[in-house]
Amino acid sequence: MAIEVVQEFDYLTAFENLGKNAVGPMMYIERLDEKVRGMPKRMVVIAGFSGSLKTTYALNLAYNNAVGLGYSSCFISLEMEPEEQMLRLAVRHAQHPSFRKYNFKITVNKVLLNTWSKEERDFMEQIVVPDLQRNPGYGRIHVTGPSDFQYSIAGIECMLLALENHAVEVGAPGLRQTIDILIVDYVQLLAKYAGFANGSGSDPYRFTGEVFTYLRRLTTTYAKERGITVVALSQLNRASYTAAKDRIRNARIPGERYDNLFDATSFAESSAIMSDADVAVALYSDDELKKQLKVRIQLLKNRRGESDEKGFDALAMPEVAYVGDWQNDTATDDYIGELLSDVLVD
Amino acid sequence: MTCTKCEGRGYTIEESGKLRICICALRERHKTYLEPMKAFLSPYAKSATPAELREGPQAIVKSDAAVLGLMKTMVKTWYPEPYVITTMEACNEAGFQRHAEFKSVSELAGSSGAFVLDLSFMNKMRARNAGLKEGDSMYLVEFVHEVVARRKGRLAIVLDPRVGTFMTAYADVCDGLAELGIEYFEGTAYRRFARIAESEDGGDNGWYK
Repeated sequence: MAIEVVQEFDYLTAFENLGKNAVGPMMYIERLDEKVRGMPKRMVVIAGFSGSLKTTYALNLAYNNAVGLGYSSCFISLEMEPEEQMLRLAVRHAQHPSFRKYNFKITVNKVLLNTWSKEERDFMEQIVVPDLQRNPGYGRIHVTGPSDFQYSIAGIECMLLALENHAVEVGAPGLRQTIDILIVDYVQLLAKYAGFANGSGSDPYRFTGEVFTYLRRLTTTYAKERGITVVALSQLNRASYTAAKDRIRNARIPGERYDNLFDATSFAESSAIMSDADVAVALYSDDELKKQLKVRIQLLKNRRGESDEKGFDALAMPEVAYVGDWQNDTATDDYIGELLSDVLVD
Repeated sequence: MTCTKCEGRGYTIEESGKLRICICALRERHKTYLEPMKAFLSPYAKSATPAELREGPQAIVKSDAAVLGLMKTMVKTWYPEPYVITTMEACNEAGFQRHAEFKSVSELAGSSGAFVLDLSFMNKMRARNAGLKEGDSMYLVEFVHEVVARRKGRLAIVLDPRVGTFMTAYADVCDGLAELGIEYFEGTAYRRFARIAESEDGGDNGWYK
């Protein structure tokens, strides 16, 4: 970081540049984007229990930033095979508005269980995948496993630079040769792998703080201080699980049962995470919310603006690898009239 | 028949790339949601026109039109909050700690965010017995208070069509409901429950919209 002195700082150029610089990768949930307003070189933590759709949201984040804004990302997938993530990305791309006219409903299960029809497979092979892979307007999405960074946190930067070199070698368009977002799914597993590799494996979770500090440093120092946005997925601690379940079960006002589920102490290894993160988001989903296609989102820390500790609902459709703003058609009087007739006929 | 809006996908895709749940996908969920309410309908319900009910805690005198109106309100404002159909007896069991699941009225009231309190059948012999009635009304009013005032939950009370007999037998319940601001829908309009003092004085019990 260069030293600046107030008396010598070029304020005129700085004022001239205001608003011209890209706001950076976005979170693609309106209520988060309104508050966070882009996450260039930020350390973003997305936390939640198992099954709270962290991975699906992170995958959407990579997908939307690539397809919508042209940002490239590297997704370190330590829980799922990279190949499975690739298939999910293809399913997600099948929901792109330009493919509406084909009227196919491609789902994750259809693809993973290979239960799709020939027409659906042809549609994916001939239309969706070629567009996802060759559209020059889209950012590149790399998905890697633990062996790609040699099980060492220091290997992450080398891996990212190698991926950038590879993009140059294969002739990717200039703007798509750099990696803008690093996504780690999830950070405790990274600490475990890296901890075992460097010999401090007896208690890998104590190593999480170091991993966070490393990732935090990467946001500004990566590639000779070009910097990178880091999105780290994280588990929440067990105490917060019990507390959240109690709150939901014993909520005095039922309509508020999913409000304020988590706080800053809910993160596993909370002090390290909360001090290093610029943005901390917690996700929650249980069977009841899943039935309603909802995931609860809280913005617990936002270094540059307001937080949203109460939380709000977002639309979650894991069968098409989608997490986005909550939107549904509303029940009009005509619809309800038809519905009641239907109910009476059954 | 395939939905023309989403072509059977269950969601629509907007120009911005965002997905939106299609109304056809909600239909089956709504039907399942309303299924338990069919128990309040007569075989002639098809010819009834749903009554226009307001939102908020309320009672309805059981009729096909009123129940259909309640179902309409439930789809519009209750869904997707799961609801429980409960009875005066359940309130008593919880209050007297005889309930298999809930040890207090408060626990019963906290078991769901929405309730349909089924008072659609009144046992006249029981209603004539002052001793039993007192217990009934004590826990019933406590339950309603807990749901409406303390927990801000959703509540609909379905009253016996012989509402006059109910009011005579359970004047104290009606007084409690009136105190909580609950009104009952009968025919085409809402009415206030009678307060005990008002009834004794022959007080205002007038119809109004």
